[in-house]
Amino acid sequence: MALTKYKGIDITGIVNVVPETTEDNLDLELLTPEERAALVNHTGIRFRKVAPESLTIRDLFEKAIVKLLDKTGWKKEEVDVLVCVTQSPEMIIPSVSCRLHGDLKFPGSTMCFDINSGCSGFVYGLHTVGALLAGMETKNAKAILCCGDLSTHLINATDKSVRPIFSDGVAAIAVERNADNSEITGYFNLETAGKGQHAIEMQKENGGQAMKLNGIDVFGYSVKLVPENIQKLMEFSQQEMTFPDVFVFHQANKLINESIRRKLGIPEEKVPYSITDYGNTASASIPMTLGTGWKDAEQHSGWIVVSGFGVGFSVASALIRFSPLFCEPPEEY
Amino acid sequence: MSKFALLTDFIDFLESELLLSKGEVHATAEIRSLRTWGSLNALIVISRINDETSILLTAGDLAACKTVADLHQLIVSRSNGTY
Repeated sequence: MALTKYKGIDITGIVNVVPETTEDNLDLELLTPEERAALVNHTGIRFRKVAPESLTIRDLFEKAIVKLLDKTGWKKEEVDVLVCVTQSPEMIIPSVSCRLHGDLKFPGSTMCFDINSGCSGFVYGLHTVGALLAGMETKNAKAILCCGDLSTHLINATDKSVRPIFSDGVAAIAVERNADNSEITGYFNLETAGKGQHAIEMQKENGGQAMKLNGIDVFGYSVKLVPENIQKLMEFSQQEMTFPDVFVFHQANKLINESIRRKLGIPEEKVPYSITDYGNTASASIPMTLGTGWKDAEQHSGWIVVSGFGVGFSVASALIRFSPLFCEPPEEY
Repeated sequence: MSKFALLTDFIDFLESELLLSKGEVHATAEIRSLRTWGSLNALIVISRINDETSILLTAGDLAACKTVADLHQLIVSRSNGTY
């Protein structure tokens, strides 16, 4: 059981970037009109962002990083860690983070690597950069965490089970170590159920590969494992389920997310969604939801739960102190 | 579990969730031949069964059921809520 915590680490700000093109599930010719209406009604997904083949994850991350540096006022020389969480790099070697390091001229002192993770990737990435910053000598050490995928580049566009779900987008998150690092600022529960590895996977198809999703098994693993994961997290943090201001779930689909919400007894107003306008954006979906809804959220405790779950089968939740300087809605590339 | 204790109740449930007319679903009907059956409706049915009974059926469970009666029998046998 990977229950862990960090001290003195906070999210300073979040920016989100999406491709310009939007697809409307109500116009999706792949489905009958009745199927389209049922899909939007039950999954909550109306619009999806779709990147052209010419656009790469590196391009979106670059725009997000440039905007993040502008919003924070950070100099590249101050950035100690640059981590990219993605499963859709346009090339395997070198890593996206190293390419961005070179192209954006970060200094040699910036640590770079990629994490291959999907829907739980934001939480895994946040824990990773937080743990790295916590171990550094530099006061106010800084990290940029990039999360996201061009999932529409991984699917067969004629596959009715994935085309209406997945959407493209990225987030860049500024994470900083405070001068005072005596306070716990994040509790994490990071878990894996590898027996569910086939629920979402790349499969050979027509001489290539395409991402396949077994919706029923994804539902089963999610509604079984996520509530247990969050309950263990809250016990670990010694906080009641009423303590967090909001619970921001990976935007899988509303059938799954609402089942999780009901099992945990969380009121509807504490569970924001971005899925109607932005679909399932994999590891970007939690920061995307914060970017679209945070300004409206009422703050009481100043702590939130974030929970990612999916491909792996991987489940990762965190209770984090959250009071960012900015939390931007998605900007089009 | 009382919600689906009777096969007739389960048939009513399927007709409602699959937006089918009264009498379109019967015990020996093949699930995958039901007029509105598809990946989304299968997920909706599995989700609603979980809401009503806490029973979580897998894709493998569903694949092993040929008829409506087979699926009902599986739910009855899982009424202890194991997964």
